[in-house]
Amino acid sequence: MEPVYILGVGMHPFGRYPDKLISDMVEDAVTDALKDAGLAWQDIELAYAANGQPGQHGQRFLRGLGLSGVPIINVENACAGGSSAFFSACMAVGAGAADVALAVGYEQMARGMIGANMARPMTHESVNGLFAMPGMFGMVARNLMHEHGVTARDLALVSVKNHHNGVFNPRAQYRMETPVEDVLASRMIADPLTLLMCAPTTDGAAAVVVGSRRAAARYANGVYIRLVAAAQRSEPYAGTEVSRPDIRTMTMQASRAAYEQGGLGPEDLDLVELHDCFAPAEISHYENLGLCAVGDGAKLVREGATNIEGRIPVNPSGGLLSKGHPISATGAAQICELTWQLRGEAGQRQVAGRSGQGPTIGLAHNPGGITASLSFAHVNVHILKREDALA
Amino acid sequence: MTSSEKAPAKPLTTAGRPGAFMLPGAAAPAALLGGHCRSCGAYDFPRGRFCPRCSAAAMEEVPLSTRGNIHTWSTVYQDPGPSFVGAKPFTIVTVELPEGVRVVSTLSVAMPPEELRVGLPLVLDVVSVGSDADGNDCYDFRFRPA
Repeated sequence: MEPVYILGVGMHPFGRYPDKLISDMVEDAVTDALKDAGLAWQDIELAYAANGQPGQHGQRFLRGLGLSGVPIINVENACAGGSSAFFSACMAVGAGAADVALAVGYEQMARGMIGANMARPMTHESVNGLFAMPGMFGMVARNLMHEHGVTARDLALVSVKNHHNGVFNPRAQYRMETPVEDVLASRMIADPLTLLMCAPTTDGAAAVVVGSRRAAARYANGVYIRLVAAAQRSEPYAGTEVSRPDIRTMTMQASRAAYEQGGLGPEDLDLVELHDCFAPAEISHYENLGLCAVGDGAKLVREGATNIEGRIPVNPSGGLLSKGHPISATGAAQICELTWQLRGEAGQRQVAGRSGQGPTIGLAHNPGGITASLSFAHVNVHILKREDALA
Repeated sequence: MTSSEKAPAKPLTTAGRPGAFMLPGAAAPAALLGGHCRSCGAYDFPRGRFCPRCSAAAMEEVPLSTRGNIHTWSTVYQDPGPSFVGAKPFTIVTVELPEGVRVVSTLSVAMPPEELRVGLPLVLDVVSVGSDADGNDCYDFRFRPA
């Protein structure tokens, strides 16, 4: 595969915009990404559009930018939609199908628990409320508590950290500090998860323009953000060694594959944006991504190792908990954050990197979906690297 | 069910598959019907055509144990929406059966949180969940403390 570079990124701020047109949010995110790249809409040769709702096709929401005739492919991969669009755009450029490609994710969501307002046919899953994501992650949390001594306070500390980071992100949905007592005292959603341990529903859009070495030589200005790993997995057979729903194995396998591709390890990372849809997911994924040994995840957040100033900053953007989680936009927004951080453009939430001279390597982790067997469906792990010269 | 009721008793689908459990009858008690791979020995629930571990088309149908233990659980306070049948709040459980299979369902009886614990012995329960659009009396499986 030929080298692939991030040329530009853009986001419509995440939040609640029930009266805004989806096309306006998409146009804003794409326009920002194009401006960031120094490109025009006519320069996009291929586009991947991610959304989680039926009928919300990219052709509807991108045509307002101009009828350029650009091929547009729709991507639906639940919470992993944005990173799946990004993966696809990178693969197309890496294979030489386009010099410049766009990945965009967007979502406008109903309030309340995902799917709660939906009338479903009578099945074992529907009459038992098993599609309730908080219940699934309540079980993940209970498992962490039982097997590794994680406490409700540890879960709350994840929310405290990510909400603190979100205060410094102008594009985050919630820019407020949440003291640990407030997190623990907020409404119980799915024991032991309180409201502030759950990502909100969110509206928003995020866009990434990727390009070939030739395009990077022409448009990037001396700082090159290169894709060094792109690994994907669907649910692997994991026997009974891990809990089902199994949040662990898929991410463990995808991250190992990504480290191998990139010729590096978790110890080389300067920052991580991971999928903290619920607080226990962040603790589990510290372990699944190899940032620490299995069972030591809570220790990282207790010791502050994953703070912006810590040994390995995780979710400096505020994560899903604070920045918000507009399903198919989330994975693309993670790539935006890594890019800003690697360029040193993240303002008050800028991480220093292991060298203290700015970060050079960042990882994005974006799983999604739940199959009929109540397992997690798909995960993408991408690693980006800042370089001072073209590869 | 008694023989005087006209509408047929219908078990709900599980993971999109019909026939995942057997209603209690004259000859046999209620049971979950799993798959057992004749090639590698793996179990699955519900039974598919292919083995989840080795992909062999060698899955034979086997009734699974009706007793298991709580592997993990969560009591859900948020309204799960109009499709849910039962009292709220409700407790989601992952139940580990002796075969090593883990099954996700809810408790058929309300239990105070302080009585719930990992390892708690449970037994299969069959519950009436109302009738579907075609007027069939529908049944589903849940678990209750053994």
